[in-house]
Amino acid sequence: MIDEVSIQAVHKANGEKFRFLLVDDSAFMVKNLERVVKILDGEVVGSAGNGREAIKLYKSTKPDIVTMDITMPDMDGIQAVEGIMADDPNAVIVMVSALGHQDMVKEAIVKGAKYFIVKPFKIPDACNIIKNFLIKMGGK
Amino acid sequence: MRVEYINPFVESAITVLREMASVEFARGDLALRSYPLLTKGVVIVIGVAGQIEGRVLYDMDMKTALKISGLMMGGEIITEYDEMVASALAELGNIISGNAVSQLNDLGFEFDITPPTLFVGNNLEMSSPNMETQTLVIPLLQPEVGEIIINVALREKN
Repeated sequence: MIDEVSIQAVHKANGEKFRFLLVDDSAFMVKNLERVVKILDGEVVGSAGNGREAIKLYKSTKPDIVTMDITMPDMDGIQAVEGIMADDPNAVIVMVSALGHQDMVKEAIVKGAKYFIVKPFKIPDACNIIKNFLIKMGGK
Repeated sequence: MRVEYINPFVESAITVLREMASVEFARGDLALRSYPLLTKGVVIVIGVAGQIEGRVLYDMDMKTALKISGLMMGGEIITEYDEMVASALAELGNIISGNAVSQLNDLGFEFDITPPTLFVGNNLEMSSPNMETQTLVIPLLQPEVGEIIINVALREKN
């Protein structure tokens, strides 16, 4: 818990909160990702349990950053990346998956994902990794 | 069924339980079991499809399932099985299998896993829909938490 407190919040250059869309079919994992967003003082604008829902929610919420699971029912995360990138070529998508093998990473990146985090992760580690992404996106 | 398919799942399970539940399980002895299998009460099932196909089961009793999900939620004491417990267990099965499959993929086998399915019930019996009559199992043991039996039935597709 001490680790989590020591992590500082990160905001957009204009001081606004970063807006997150969380995509994972596991309610447990969504809860963990919500904690990560809270620690970084971001805002969760939506969460989706499959790829189809993710594409729909992306269009309606226009988040700054998307976390995307791969193995999901109905439509997987790789297809969802394709759908989101078709809608918005500037979308920032972070793959968060237990499938860390090369082919899967490559496919996600080719389809347009910017980053990859392999599950399992500890919450403070995920905070630090995502914070670095947000800083690269101009966050302070 | 090659014995080496089971090792990545066992190694991954020990690592993932250490990371997600902060608990150290020890590997028990490999054994051959005959169908139908009488399960311990809570079973996470992951399907495998591709060059290798079949399924992986993680079987435990309810007491162990509640203890593990409590540890995954940061050390909570959980007394009742609910949707968040189910979700935590399903994700545990998903991550263990995903990490194991990634290891096997890097060795050159191409296949993927399906989202986890959870079965809960006393005296739950599993049968094999295929021709198989036996399956390989390895128990993971932890004196405080209990036992998780990993049951791997995979074969190369013809």
